[in-house]
Amino acid sequence: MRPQRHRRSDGIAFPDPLLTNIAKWTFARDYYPAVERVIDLAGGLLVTGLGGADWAAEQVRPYMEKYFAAAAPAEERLALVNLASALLARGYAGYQGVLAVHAEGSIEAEKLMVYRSYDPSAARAYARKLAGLD
Amino acid sequence: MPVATPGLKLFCSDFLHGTDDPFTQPISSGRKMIETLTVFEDVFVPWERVFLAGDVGRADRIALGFVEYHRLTAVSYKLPLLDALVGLGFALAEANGIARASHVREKLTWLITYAESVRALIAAACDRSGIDEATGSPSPTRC
Repeated sequence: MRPQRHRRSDGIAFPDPLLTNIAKWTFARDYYPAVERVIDLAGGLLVTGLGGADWAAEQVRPYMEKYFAAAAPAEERLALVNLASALLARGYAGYQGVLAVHAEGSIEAEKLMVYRSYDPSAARAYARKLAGLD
Repeated sequence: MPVATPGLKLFCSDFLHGTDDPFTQPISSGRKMIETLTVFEDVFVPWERVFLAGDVGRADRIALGFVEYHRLTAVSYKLPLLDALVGLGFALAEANGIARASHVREKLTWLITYAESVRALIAAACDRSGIDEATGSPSPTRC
């Protein structure tokens, strides 16, 4: 079957609506599962770690350097964990999650556009032909 | 309309407002996106800034055009975020010393597939817009 194509009469280019909406729906639908997997890999330190004032405190930093090291030294590991915490667990993470589900269109709007953008006539005719009909 | 137009009011959300610790919040401490409730109260709009007036039959096309472009960018601007999630998955698994476990690799594989599927879909969405052979400019009439 040939790829779905869309035409406009005004000569202005539009991105393919079927694939655009499938792309957005795929991104939105699987965003929280992606977040879950990175949280899984990162560990609970995402929400139990200490703050910048502690890292800067002479009497606290040695404990952080000792107990927060793993396969990487604490400074490196904490920089990664803090970035992960920002993207996965804190207010900014909530913001990105809401954007993923709602920004530039809701999941239902994307499903609606996928259904409307797809022309089933070729696929239907092919299925009927394979079934020995028509 | 210019932001300082008389009568145009922007009420800003306080979400993520405040001074964040750059150590624990490296993203939001240095980058703010301001969302507003935007109100037009007795605002003068010159005709050259009016795109549709009373032509109800064309309203759906204008709304759909906005949606189609906006929805394209909705995915294309997310690719760096998805790359950051994949990168964090790898970097944290390595920093935690667990990168060789089979279930960890399965999760990393899922993340790779997610990011690259979204990337491929939006690239294909752009590729399918078609090119006008006469002018070389993108044209849906050549799809």
